[in-house]
Amino acid sequence: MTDVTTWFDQTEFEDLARLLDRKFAGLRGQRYFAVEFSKDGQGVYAKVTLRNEQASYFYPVEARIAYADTDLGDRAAAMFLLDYITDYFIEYFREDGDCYLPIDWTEYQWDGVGFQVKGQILNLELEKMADELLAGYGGESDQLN
Amino acid sequence: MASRLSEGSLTEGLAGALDAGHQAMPMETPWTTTSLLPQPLDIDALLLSEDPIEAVAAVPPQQLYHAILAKGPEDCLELLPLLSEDQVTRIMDYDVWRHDHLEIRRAMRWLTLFKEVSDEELYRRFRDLDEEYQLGLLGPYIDLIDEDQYEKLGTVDQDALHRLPCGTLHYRVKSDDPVVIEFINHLVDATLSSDVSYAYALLAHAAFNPPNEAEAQLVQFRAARLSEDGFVTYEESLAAFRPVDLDVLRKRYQGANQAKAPLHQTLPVAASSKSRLFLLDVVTSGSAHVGDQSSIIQQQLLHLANSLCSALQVEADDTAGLRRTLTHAQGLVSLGLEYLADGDVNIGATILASEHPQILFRVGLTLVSGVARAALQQLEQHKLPAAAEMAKNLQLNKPGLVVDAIDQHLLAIVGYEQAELLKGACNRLPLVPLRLQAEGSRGPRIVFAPIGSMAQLATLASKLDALSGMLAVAKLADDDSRAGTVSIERRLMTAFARVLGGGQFTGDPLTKAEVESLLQGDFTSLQNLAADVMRSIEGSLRLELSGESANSWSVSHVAGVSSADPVQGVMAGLADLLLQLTTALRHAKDQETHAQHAELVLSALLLAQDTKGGAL
Repeated sequence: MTDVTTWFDQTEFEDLARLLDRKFAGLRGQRYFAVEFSKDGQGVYAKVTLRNEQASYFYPVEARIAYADTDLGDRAAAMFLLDYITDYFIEYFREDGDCYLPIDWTEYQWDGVGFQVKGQILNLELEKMADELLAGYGGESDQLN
Repeated sequence: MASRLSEGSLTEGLAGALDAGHQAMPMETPWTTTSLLPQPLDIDALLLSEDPIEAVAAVPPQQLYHAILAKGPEDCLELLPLLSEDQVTRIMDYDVWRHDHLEIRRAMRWLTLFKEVSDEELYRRFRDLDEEYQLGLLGPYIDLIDEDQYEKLGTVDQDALHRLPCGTLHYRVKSDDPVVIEFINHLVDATLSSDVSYAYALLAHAAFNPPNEAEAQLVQFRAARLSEDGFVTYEESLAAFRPVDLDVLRKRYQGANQAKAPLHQTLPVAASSKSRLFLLDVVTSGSAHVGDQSSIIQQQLLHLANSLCSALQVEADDTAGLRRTLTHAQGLVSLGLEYLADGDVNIGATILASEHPQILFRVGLTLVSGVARAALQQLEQHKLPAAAEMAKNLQLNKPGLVVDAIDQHLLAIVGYEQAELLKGACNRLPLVPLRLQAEGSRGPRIVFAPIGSMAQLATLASKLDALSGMLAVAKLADDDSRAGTVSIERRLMTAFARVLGGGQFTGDPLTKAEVESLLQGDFTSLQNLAADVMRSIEGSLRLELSGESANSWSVSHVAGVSSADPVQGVMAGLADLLLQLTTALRHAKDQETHAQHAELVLSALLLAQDTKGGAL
């Protein structure tokens, strides 16, 4: 996502995240949501992250829709993607987390609209520790390659 | 999807989750439930039995389905060929639907497993499905093309077609999804190699059947089959949440005299009932007399939970949702039973033998609803915003709207903990606060427990007493003139501050002179004064309690639930406020040289004319 301009303000992102927090309050445990939208010349992007405080569980689910594939306006397209991601999380919690998305952009169809989705559960805490450990040995992780 | 975040106002996206009442509030179960839940089925033991086909056929489909899900369908390939035709259909009924629409990808998951067994098995299982299933699954994806149409197509389109053995007909899979295309091609190949005429008939019907007709018929057939497990329509499901006449039921088991006795005189509140359900005690004792009642109750509870699913927006394949529903159901059944039996295990066994768990569930729900109604009545009397509407919506069986309104209108007035307490009481599946859970930088949040005993009901009522008592005391200060706009804590602290400054217990904003006098006061004598005020308030609350219970400030009195001394909780809350106030005053006094800072500290707690925090 390069050269993007956000158009929802921070308060709206926080309101939407709070809404997701409330909707899944009984299912998300000690994890919480963050919502981001952006757009560029190609289309609209949505990212909903479910994470815990330490980021040892960090699950960004991203969706994007090309202007060429939809008649929806910017905001409507962003909310459409958010609806899809919300629906995905309903399924995710229902399946006790056993419901994965492809780690690379993959075509999806929902409500007759085509768009792309990706998502991968990360352990940023562990990655950070690994980086620190490697830095302690005098080099970054990519120096090993 | 039940409700989308993008529909209308943002809060509408929440409405469905709040109305369902089992997923929007964090919950832990404080009692052991295992022995009242259907026991997990051992698939390996079934396969090793003397006659596995007969053993598998004897298992109820829903139990079999959950067992397969628990083991993982991909690890059940040995079991799949043993399933009866009816069991396969029922598994499809449970699993391959979303909001009354067939989902081919979910169906593919099961049919692909049959293909793993063999192509012949895939063909056989597909052919054995209801005709509507076959057409409902294939119809949207099959195009049949005859020779004339074929000739008119371009080369690229022709290459995308599959020629049938006759050489004059072709079919095309109408999907961009390579997984769907591959699966349908496999299915057609499997049917062609086993039964050519069936394959032709299937493709012809799938291609020319009116769109959605098969699915629409299936919806009806599926609903009829699911009703055998207790799954009912939304309207029928809501009926389980209707209140019952408690007096009539109590009379049935205890005679007219006892039935007329007020609830709080007859209620046993066992200390142990928080960790062990009364229902379990009854089932355990009953099994010695009437055989294995436990398995009957398990089935009845499962049937009850299934019947609640529609109202709770739990689909047949949502095992986690069903587990939560079962937990609530057994809790409320136990509560209802404990109430009707007055905590007597023998009477409980008699009741359990003659009343369906749904009645007991409704009894439990009616009891909690009585407490919630009494709480909302107090809020309404004290002119809290939207309280009348909330009471009406609770009466109309729309708890999601009540819970949402509490967040929207009451959070700032009553504070987080009290708002959560009210939400738990008004939730479709009622909850009582259990503990505070740390949430990192987002601060703590309350974790709830389902209600399963009279002791927990009394705890809920007692906590609500603390809120209603504070409201009653705040009314003494300002006659509720600020109830709709100022938080209870602030109203009370303002009145306390005025008393500490030598004035009356009234809630008008403090003048600058009053604030200055407060800061110059002697704290030892102020605290004595505060103790006098507290005694006076306590006397006033106790006096009101001795009057007509219907007009009482106490939720537990109005609802007729026995709880600990209702005044104690209120006094503890007031003492806490007083402590906060005196600590803030001490701090402000210490900061005398920084008058602006002192003013800020006080303005956060009090209503004062000359501070910025004069209005909420």
